[in-house]
Parts: sequence; C-alpha cells; structure tokens
Amino acid sequence: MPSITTSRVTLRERASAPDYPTQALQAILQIPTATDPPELLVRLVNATAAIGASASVYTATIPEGSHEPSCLSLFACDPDYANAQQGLGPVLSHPWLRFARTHTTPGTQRQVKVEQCEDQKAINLARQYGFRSCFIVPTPAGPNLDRIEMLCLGSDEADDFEGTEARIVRSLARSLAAELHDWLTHYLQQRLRAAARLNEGDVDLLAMEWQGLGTKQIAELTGLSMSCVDSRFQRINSRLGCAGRRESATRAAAYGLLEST
Amino acid sequence: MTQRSADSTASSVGERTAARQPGLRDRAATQKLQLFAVRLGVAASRTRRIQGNAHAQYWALLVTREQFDAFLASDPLRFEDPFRFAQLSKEFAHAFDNHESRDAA
Repeated sequence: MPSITTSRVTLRERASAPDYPTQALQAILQIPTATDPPELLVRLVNATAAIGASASVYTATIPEGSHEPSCLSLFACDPDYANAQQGLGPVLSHPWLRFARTHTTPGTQRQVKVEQCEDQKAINLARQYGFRSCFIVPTPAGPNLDRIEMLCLGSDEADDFEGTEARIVRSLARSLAAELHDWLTHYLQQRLRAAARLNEGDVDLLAMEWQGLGTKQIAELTGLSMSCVDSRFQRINSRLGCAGRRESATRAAAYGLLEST
Repeated sequence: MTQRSADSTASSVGERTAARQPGLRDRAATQKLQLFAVRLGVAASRTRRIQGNAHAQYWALLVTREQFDAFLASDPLRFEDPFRFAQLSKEFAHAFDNHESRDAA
C-alpha cells in the first residue's frame, strides 16, 4: 500500500542523520504560513515526510454549543484511507481520538485501548495505510473547553516510536502538533469573527458571559443599560446560530475567540 | 517552483444531498465536495453538515491522476450529476499534468 514516503529509509535511519532535526524543523515551521486548509494539508504532508513518518492524520473536534461538535480531519497519507475510515463510522468514536480525549501526554499504539470490535477494525485499517506503529499527540485546548485535537504519526515499521532513539522524533511530533493547534486556533478565530460579523464589543460581551457574569454586572462594567445588554446578546446569538448566550460564549471560546480578551 | 504555484489556484464545489447516514436517525445530511489545485496535486475535501452549526470535514491530498479518479469515482456526485462530475474531472486534469511535468523536469 503506498504511503507518502517512497524511499526505503526507515524512520530510525532517517532520524540518525545529522541534518535530520534541522530539515524536519524547517518543514514544521512552514505550518503557520498556510492560508487555508488545502495549503495546510500540503505542509502537513511535507512535515510528515521530513520527520520520516509514513503517514499522518490530524483531527480536531470543535464544540458547537448544545449540538454535536464539528470535526476537521487532514489525512496526510493515501487518500483511500480517508474514504475507508469514513466508511467505518464517525471519527469521534475512533480509538485514537478516544486516547486523545482521555490523555494529556502522547502515547503509542501500545497505549491505545481496544474496547470494542469497531476499535480493532479501525486499527487494522490504519495498519494497511502506513500506521503499523503510531505516535498520538493530544493537544488539550485549555480549561473548560471540549475542543480536542490529535496528531497521529504513522510508520510502516513496528515500534518505530518507542525507545530513547526515537526521542527526537517524538519531540518533533509534539512540535508539529503545537504548530497545527496554533494554526487552527487562528483560522477558527478569523472564520467565526467574519461569519458572525463580530466586533470587539461583541467579543468583550461574550468573554464576560464566559466568565459567568450576569446581565447586571455586565451592564455595570460596560456602562450599557441591562436591556441594551440583553438585546446585544440576542443579536450575537442570532449571528452565531446559537439558542442562548451561554451557548454563544461556549462556541466563541471553542473557536479561540476569547483568548485575545 | 514558484511561491505562486504553492497557493490554491483553483477551486470548485459540487453539492449534493447524501443518503441518510447511520446514527443520524431521520436527519438528512448535506454533503459538499471541494477541490483545490495545490502544489503537489489536488486537495480534496468532503464536508457533511450534521446539525445546527456542526459539520464534519475531511481533507485528503491526491497526488496522481489515478488517486483523483478513484476519489471522485467513490463520490455519489458521479451518479447524481454526471455533467458536473465530468466538468470537475476535466477542470482538474491540468493539476496532475503540471505536477508530472515538473517532476520530469
């Protein structure tokens, strides 16, 4: 089965080259300059190859208030895997993502629990597409947020991410995951701000709601009347497609919009 | 390779209504196919609207014409809108031609 790297050099051999960290870091440092998801995918493919992995998948789930979360996945691997994985069911129930949801530190395939028959199917499928061994990096999005992100690097070789000699590979994977997280946060912020036409005042109101302040407290802090605060929130809720102000604040926080306040 | 060629230079969207998905009960989901010409070939995405603001989107990179054909062949757009399907195939063929000629050079 084809993988993104065509050379026969193994990950361990590649990692032992003197210029390996520099080349891999150069590829990782291209991530922030991607302007949209297609370009990000190209840069993820390049970074995955520079690290020496056979394949990678980056997935993020973004809470959408009271509804199911949104989900974004980039498959830097054989595109057949993307289609085949979708056929198995929602990515939310994938054992890798479950690992990411329940861990704050990275782990390999050895730490992924197989709890049901579907888990084994998902793992077997991944093995066919360059994930014989894998390294999963969860990226917690901060306190009180259900946003979950996960980068999974794969290798055609067994246990390529284990042991002290793979330490540098694991560090590079964490660095790549952090750059992807930063990129996604900026992208989501811009998208939500533009789509919902939110100004700085709206974001400040959402931040106050996120902090748990009531209408009276917000009115005192902003100098607005209580009815004005309520009507501002009604307009914000409408533009964000949310039923209430708490849902709006949760959505704004999940999209990283309240980080700058 | 110029920086310009690294950018997404073309895009196209085909929308369709998908069959009801398992787990979605009676909610019909709308799917969208997006294609972007990129430096390495074509970046393809499928987006499925779930409920409210929620949607699931995945991206894959198609670096050969065979991968492109296989990706589109598995999309219901082929049967639901054959004309649009043919149009997309033709529109993006150049992405691989350019990529292959760059490789040869």
